[in-house]
Amino acid sequence: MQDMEDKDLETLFHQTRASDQRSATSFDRDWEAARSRLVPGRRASLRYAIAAACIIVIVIAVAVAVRVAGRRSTIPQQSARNQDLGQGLQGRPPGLSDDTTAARTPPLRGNSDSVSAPGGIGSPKRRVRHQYVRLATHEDRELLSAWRSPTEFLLKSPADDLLKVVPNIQDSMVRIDSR
Amino acid sequence: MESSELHAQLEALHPDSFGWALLCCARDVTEAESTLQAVYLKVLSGKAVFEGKSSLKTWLFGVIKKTAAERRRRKMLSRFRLVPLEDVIETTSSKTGRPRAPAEGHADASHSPDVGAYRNEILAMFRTELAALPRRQREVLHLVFYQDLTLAEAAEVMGVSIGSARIHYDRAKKRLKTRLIERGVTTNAGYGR
Repeated sequence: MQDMEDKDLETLFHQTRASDQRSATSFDRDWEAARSRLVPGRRASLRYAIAAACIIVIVIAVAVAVRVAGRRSTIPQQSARNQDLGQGLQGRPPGLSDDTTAARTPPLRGNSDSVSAPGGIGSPKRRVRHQYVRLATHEDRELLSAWRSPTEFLLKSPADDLLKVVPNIQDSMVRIDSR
Repeated sequence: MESSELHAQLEALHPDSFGWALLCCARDVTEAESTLQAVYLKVLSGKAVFEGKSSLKTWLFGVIKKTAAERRRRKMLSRFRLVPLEDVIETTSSKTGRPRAPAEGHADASHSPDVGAYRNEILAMFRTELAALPRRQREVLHLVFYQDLTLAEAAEVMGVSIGSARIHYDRAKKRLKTRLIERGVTTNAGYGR
């Protein structure tokens, strides 16, 4: 008979099973090995928890440091700006006539909020703020007009004269110094 | 389920679990033993909890299959150094276990010297042909013939539908029979009936 039935397969599987079971490890040994690995597993999880806590603390510390550094960098800018404006108010700001500054600008010391309004009607505090804004915009405008790019010299070329002047047909490109 | 009751049932199922672990680990005895230890560790640490939705055997076999697959993946990643090598080594060589050779045929010779060499040869041939089958087909045949599970239970362990399991089962039987006949293993070959 050259055929094979399911029972034959079953027999082969059962023989394999019997052979495997003879080579099987004992349950107690595997169970105890697993139990002995249980404690290091807990330690490992504790280690992961500590590492995670450290990472969180470091992230929070970095965030706080960045925020504090940001505040420190903005405070000097603001104070410098306030000082400039204060000087502008006390002195003669460019673009404003003597009468306007003299009449409207009270002496400022630092922040505009520190200016007191002793019993005045019509809120001098508000008026000072108004001046503050006007002068600030004026100064900004002046600063912008005076600003030059630090790399402006790179845009200059030796041929700038030729490009900026309308050429004359009878004029020569070569200029000879007659002296 | 009480822990003592679970312990007793796991002990009773241990030989079958070992057989299934062997199949999942390409018949590497050391790897099968390590996989079983990893499974018991999961049970002890509460990572694998039996909720009674299926039989304990089906559930346990599912855990073994997943654990073996995890270990295979981990080993593969360790080859590319994506997982620390000690993780694999630690789980492979247990504290009490010693490295052992694969179980291909020699177990019979060492434990039962009365078994003939011819029968061992047939069994070795059978194992080779079984190992040559696609994974799903190999698993379904093992679960049905070796573990005496029903097709529905086998499908549950394999994580496929019963229809799919039936297709794998039919194809696997046909393929294995054809290959064994080609190699001269027939009902008259004298493998123990």
